[in-house]
Amino acid sequence: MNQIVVNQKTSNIDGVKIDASTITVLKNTVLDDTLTIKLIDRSTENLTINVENNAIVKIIFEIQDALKTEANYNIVLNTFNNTNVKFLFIADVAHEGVLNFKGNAYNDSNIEFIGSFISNKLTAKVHLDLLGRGANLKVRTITVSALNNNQVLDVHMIHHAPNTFADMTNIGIASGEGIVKLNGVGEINQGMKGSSAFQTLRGIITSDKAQIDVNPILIIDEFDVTAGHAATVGKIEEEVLYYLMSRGLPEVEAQKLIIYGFLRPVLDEIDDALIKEHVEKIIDERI
Amino acid sequence: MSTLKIENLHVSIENKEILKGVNLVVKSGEVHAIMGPNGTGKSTLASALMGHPKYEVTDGSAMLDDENLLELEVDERARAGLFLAMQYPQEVSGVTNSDFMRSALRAVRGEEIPLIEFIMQYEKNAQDLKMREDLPHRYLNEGFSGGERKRNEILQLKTLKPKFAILDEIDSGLDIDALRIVGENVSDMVSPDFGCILITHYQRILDYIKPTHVHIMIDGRIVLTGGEDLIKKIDQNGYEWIKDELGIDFEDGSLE
Repeated sequence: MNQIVVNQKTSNIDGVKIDASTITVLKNTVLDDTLTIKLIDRSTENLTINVENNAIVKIIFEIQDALKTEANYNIVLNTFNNTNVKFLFIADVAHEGVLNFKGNAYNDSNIEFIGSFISNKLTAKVHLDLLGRGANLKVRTITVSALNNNQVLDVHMIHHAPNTFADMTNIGIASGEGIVKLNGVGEINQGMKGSSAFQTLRGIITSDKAQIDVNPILIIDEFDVTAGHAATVGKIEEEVLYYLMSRGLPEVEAQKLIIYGFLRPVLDEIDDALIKEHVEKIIDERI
Repeated sequence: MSTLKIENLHVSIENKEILKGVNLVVKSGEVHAIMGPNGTGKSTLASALMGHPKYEVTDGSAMLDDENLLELEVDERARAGLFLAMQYPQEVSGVTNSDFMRSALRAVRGEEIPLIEFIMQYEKNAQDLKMREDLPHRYLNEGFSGGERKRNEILQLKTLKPKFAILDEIDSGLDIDALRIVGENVSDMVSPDFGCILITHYQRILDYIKPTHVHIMIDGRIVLTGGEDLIKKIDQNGYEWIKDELGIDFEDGSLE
């Protein structure tokens, strides 16, 4: 496995160039192994990842932050022409912080962004610009707030080119006194014909003190497009819980099963076994 | 050999008394059919025994051997050996039938079940019930027809092997083939380790599952107990004759 722990000694990876604040996957590189990038306790707060033309790569990007002061991350992902990027993002900030994630997708680049937000207190803005024709973004996120965690996630996708496609599914889970706020914005500018913007926001709470707020927004300034949105928030249904418990499952286990079922649409899209296992383990620890 | 003993059970829902003192003793190896018009408390008995949160037990007792069911949580009742095949099973998206059953079996047995052993047994049970082959991988009851849901309840029953099962109108909405399959499968389970309460309006399921006892429930009480002769009488005459014979008055909720 290829692993980069930023600011620590790293082994050389063919096709990948590493500077102080930039990691570049070079032109035409096809990485068979997953590239894992870890930022541990703010080894850096600013990082740019470039994926050059025709490169194909799977990246696990993990922020582990146990520091007691406020964090402020700025991460940029540039995917150049005809690239194919699977990007698993995990934000685990133990104290408090702000995270700006900026993506720029050029012609015919495909980004599949899967995010797991499991921080204590975090405001995360994922801002993705579709800059080139044929750019295709798929975003799947899971935000889990337990105890008194408080997380805000904004996912904003803007179509600056015709024939660009964006699809997001964001799921929030709040237990205890946890709070999740999900904002989804899809914006298609004038003249960006043939584009599509879809969004689904779903939330589930497992206690009366937990809170979830979802806001799906579509801003569309062009006729020749397809778009749609859906949003649902709810408690775990008492009848469903009763049904599962009536077969012998303790309440906590029954709830877990229901929550996993709820996350299934995101989990099932992770086709990399290693990544999937990783995400499931993280969620399991939280719920 | 186990005993399920219900004494003077009173149950209310939203402060309205539905069960007004039910007495019933079921032993392993026995099949008790509870019949009666709609709205007389048959399903309430089933739900109250399982511990549905909406039903409030106001008096009486329910013991499974020496365990007081009424003091247990829903899952603890299941682990004590009680099973309820529900009239309207819930659907749960994202949870596969096999994952659910494996977790449940682990909970009921209190130990890990080797995956291969589980799958072999589960698939065999599904075949016995002539269910679709992709069933284990489908989400729990999602997109299932009424008949498939009922069969899935029996599949869960066969998999978990409880001491006592209550089948709440398992026959409603089943076509004749499904009725036979369900009936035969349940009938095969009856043994010195398993007893069953069958709640039904119709006598047809009783062609496949022979009851050892037949009870008629009217207005929250069991008013008559007998054998197969009672089934014949209901089949021919409905329930109206009970009014005259016992001198009680009631309304058939199904006619409302």
